[in-house]
Amino acid sequence: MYKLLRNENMKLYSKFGTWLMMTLLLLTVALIGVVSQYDAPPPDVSQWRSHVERDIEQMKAGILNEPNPQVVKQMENHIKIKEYALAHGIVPLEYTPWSFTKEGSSLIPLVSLFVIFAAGGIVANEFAWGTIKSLLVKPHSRAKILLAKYVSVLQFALLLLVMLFAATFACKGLFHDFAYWDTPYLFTDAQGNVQEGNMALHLFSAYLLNSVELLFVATISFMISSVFRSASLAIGITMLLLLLGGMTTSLLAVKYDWIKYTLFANTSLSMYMEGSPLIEGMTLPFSLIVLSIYFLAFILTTWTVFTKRDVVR
Amino acid sequence: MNQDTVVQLRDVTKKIGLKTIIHTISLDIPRGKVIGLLGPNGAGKTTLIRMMVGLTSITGGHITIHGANVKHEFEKAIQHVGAIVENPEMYNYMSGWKNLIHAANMLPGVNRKRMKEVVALVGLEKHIHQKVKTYSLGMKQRLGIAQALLHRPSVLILDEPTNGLDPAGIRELRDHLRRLADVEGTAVIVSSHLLSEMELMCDEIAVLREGRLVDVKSLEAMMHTDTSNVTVVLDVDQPQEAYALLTQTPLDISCTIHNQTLTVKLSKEQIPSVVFALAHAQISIYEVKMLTQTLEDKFLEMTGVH
Repeated sequence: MYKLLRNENMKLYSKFGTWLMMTLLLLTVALIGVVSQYDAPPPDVSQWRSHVERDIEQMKAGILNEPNPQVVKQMENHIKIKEYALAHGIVPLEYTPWSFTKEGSSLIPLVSLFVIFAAGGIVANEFAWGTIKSLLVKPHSRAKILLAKYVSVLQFALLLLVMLFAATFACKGLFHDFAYWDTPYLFTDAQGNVQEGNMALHLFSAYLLNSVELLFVATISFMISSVFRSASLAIGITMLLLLLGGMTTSLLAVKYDWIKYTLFANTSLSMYMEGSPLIEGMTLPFSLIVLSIYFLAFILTTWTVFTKRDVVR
Repeated sequence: MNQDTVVQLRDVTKKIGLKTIIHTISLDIPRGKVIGLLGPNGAGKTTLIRMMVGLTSITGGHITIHGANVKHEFEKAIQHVGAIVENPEMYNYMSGWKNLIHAANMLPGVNRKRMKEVVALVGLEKHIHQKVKTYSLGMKQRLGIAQALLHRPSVLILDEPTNGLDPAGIRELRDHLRRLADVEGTAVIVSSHLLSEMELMCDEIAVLREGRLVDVKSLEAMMHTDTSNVTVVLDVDQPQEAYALLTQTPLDISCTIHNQTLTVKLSKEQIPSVVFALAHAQISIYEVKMLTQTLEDKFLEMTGVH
């Protein structure tokens, strides 16, 4: 199995297109990084204490007029974190290069697009080139070959995410001599005590949470690639879904309740972290169940078609 | 089952929808023999080969390779097989060497040494690190064979292996297959619609026609001509006289006359006496030509294409 995966990776990274996509991703990050540096320079870090003190004042005033006890609790936690930062001299995220890394997650759809290209070709191209025949007459089951291909797509997606993450950090880091690289991530635990966590770990988890849609478009592209043996069809349809899926879903969600059972209504898991689900009554477990059902359906379709198919001219 | 049988087909049937493409074919393929699957396009050669290597499902019957059923023990059965189905397709954007690594990664017990050995065997040392897109068809074919031979398979299956090869390439391939069969005892299965190639390559020929196995014959049996009934064309200066002479006793030979040439049906032993009789009657003989049925005629007869 490991050797099958090595084969898939060798084929993927021998292609010019793969390197082109990786280069484009880095260039995009660099371009946005440089432009934003001059267009909207980061706030003056020497003023951070006074800014944080002002924020605390405002929040304390806000609490007095807040009727919702849950929001009050949240605001109290925020105040605790800010006071902790003041007491320990921890510069908040928005004054550090990490803020660019955090914004970088908005480029994940670009990663999705590139992964759609890779996933759309990985099975269909073997059919188009005729190499599928020599691939399948080797002593390995079709299921294993298919799995190796899928894992290779997921690895490519992860690689692009890591590249995006590292590039956003490196880009702004260069401008600031990599200052504040060790800024901890502050959060309150269940007892309301402020804790320090690893910033890189925290932000990368946020990337992964935002990558549910990425996982699904990759899986759909992979499925269409296997079922219809056409890379262009797989890439075309999946790109359309990526572009229109989320938008259409949120438009229809205003009117129709059944939208909550559709795929794209459930892919933004961060809506639960922000406490604003797309449709009233949707919960995290609900979304996870809906997503699992879609996932299983896609994988089963791909597997069934690929393992049962007669390979003809 | 014969001890030497490597590949066994029993009542193999393939249906697509309601159409039967392969009708209950049974065939034993022994080690050390080159077997040709011969038939016109659409006779089912490629389908049969695709079933042997698991690319296409088997509707009825079974195929075993070294006793392992292709359908139920695919990985066990196929590990003995090296195959090229139709043209040898490669990853054009990678070097020949990388293509070989790709194959080696999927096969048991292939190391670097063996890979170099195979490259030398097919004479690709010079070009192996070039991208395959720069290769000629013949070079791709050789790379395909190198790939198929990596794990020293005891069964080699080649579908239309000479497609696109020049005469020198065909000859090279032929010698190569012969050596594999004779020296390594490999069972070689090749398909073709060109009889002339089969003649030179194969020990036995299985003739397919409309999805049925018409006949399995050794090449000698096919080449063998029946001497008791041959046709001879005579070119003489006095055909009428010759005709009269031959049809009368004591010769009494069936004879037809057409455009001043005589066509005579007789046994091979009778030819000298006919010549002698004509010469004795002062008839000048310009040509005596035996019409042999060529292998091609026999093939066309068997496959019913006329």
